[in-house]
Amino acid sequence: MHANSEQLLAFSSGDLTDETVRAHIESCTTCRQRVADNLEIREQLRALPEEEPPAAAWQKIVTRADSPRSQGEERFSVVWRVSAIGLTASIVFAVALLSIETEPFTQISQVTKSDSSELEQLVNQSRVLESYLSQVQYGGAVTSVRTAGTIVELEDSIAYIDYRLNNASHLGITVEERLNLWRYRNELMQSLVTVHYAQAREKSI
Amino acid sequence: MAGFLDKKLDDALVRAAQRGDRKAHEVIYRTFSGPVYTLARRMLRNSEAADEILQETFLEVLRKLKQYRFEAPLGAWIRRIAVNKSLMHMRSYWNRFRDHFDASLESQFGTLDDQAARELDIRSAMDLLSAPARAVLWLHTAEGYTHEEIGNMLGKSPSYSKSQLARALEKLRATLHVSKQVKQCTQTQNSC
Repeated sequence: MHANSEQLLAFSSGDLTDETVRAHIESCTTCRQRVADNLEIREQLRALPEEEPPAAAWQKIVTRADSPRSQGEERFSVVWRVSAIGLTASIVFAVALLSIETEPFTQISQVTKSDSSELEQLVNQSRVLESYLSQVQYGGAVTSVRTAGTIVELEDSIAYIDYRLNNASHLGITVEERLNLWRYRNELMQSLVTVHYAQAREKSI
Repeated sequence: MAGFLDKKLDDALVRAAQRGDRKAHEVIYRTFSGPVYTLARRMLRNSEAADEILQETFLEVLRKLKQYRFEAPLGAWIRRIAVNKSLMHMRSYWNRFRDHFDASLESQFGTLDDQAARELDIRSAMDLLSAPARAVLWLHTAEGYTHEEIGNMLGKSPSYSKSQLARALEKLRATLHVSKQVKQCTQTQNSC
């Protein structure tokens, strides 16, 4: 039996501890060829030429950096780090989360007449949550393994739902199932925003 | 390919940039825009997204340059910002969907010499990888991040990074093998 791809990788980097597998790779033409192929691919990747950035990019950056909005963002960033996170952000997100909670998914179902309009509402809600998430995601390392685990689980679940939504027609997913996937996705997104927000606040304190 | 860590700038120029000297800002941009754009292009597949990451990265560089303490090379500091921006982009549902859509539109045509054809092959094969696999492959192979560092950046374990890299290499190997076979068939005009 040939070595698997992870064993081949460990062999290449000198991290393979299993002597039996090592002996097999060294004596097996097929495995040695796969090791050589992997090395060649990595060389090809490293040899790819640098890409040329768009010519107008610097001018766009300067324009954006000089715009009042960007300067406002910088001031907000300083305020965020120093002290006002406990006030400004709390108010913003408390209001945001409250507004979501006061419009539970069951109520959405009751007030909307058709599946398409409900789907539109769920998608819009998801966009809002994505926007919140991009604002609260803390750039540094997570403070605890447990928090990191929670974030990974939420992100993986969302990624799985996204996969199903992106391939809904191939997978034969019905309209009702799609609505359920969007509802569940928004619940997970809300949890993810909350976890990131709590972490950002903890770091600021 | 010269990367982030191969490019050095004089400390005096960086200090001038920290004081707000726009010309010094531009020198920093001209020095590191290629590596930033290349990193984003490899991790995100489409040029429009890479342009966005390029702009977002340098806006943050300009905003946070005063916080740079010369403890690590400037290239490493800028690279970390670019990686974070690219990972955040990857995580967004909307961008994941758009990347998938745009990549399918970005086919390339024309007559290519052998070197260009090999580059196109490897880039096209990378486009077939999942976003995390592509990110791990590039960060480890080209940027030299360790599996521990990549695991931290992705909020996952080093084993996850190793596993993604192994799968990515296996898939690239298979794709490039098929591509090579197809070329041989079309060149020799036999019945394969």
